[in-house]
Amino acid sequence: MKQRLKLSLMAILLLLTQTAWAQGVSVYGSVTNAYSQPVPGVVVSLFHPVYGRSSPSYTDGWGRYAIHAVPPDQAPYYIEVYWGNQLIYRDPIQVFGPLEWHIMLN
Amino acid sequence: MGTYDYTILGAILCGIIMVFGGIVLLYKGAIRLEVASKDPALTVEMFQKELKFSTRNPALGLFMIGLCFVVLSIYFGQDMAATAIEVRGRTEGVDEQVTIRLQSQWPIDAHEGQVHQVVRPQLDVLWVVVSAPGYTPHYESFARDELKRGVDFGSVTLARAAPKIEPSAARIAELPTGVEAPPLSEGGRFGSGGSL
Repeated sequence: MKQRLKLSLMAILLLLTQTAWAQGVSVYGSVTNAYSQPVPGVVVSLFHPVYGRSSPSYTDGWGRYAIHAVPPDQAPYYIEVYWGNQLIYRDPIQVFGPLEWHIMLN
Repeated sequence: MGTYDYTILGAILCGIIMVFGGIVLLYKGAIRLEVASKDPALTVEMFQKELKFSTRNPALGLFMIGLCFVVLSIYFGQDMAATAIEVRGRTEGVDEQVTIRLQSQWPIDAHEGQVHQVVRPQLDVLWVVVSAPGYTPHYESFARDELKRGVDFGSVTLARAAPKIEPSAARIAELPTGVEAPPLSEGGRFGSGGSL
């Protein structure tokens, strides 16, 4: 009986952990160049030393990007911008909640 | 495969076991077809009583329940089957690496950039997004009926919107010692890249 109770509790904890992971926040903003022009078509990605790399977000015609379901963490993320496959920008950011982050590529 | 897919497969398996189990039980004489009562032994009504199965024979009831499992699972599992979609088209006048993506869009209610919603993806509309760095992306939508014929976005010419940005060490922060960022191709460990 105790064994079953333990297993049930573990299963519930596992489900709760998964839910917490799925309930991430959004990191969104825009990418502009030195002339404040929006930069469309570039890839914005988040990198975390533990979680790895996020799904990419491609900037739209207004240079906007959004990465949803990002788990908040005390350790910093690194936000990266790629021109094709070429890394052109990287900066550490703290994600404790929804974050609006505008990138200017000087 | 997700939980939904496993549930569908489990239901199909249950149905098949019931149908074949019924045959085995009939063969072994554990149940008999001639044992029937005056009242219906089993009645199944589906789709708001529009579809009704009824039998006076308990042995046949076993088959019917099994068949219902199989038929309903196949019906509800149709969307999980991967649909092969042929994509055709070409881009012109772009001197950068072109990315062509297919994406579906489902409305999500976000509050202050935070989202928690269950979405059941359906291929009602598929978007083709042709993009290249520095060029205004091209969006084209295809309805579900059109997808059967494949996706043909024809010839697309993208307009340049921003000049090329060369990499500069001043813009690239160093990673901590011993940490190495995986290549872009290894994306998708977390988060979902989308649009605002």
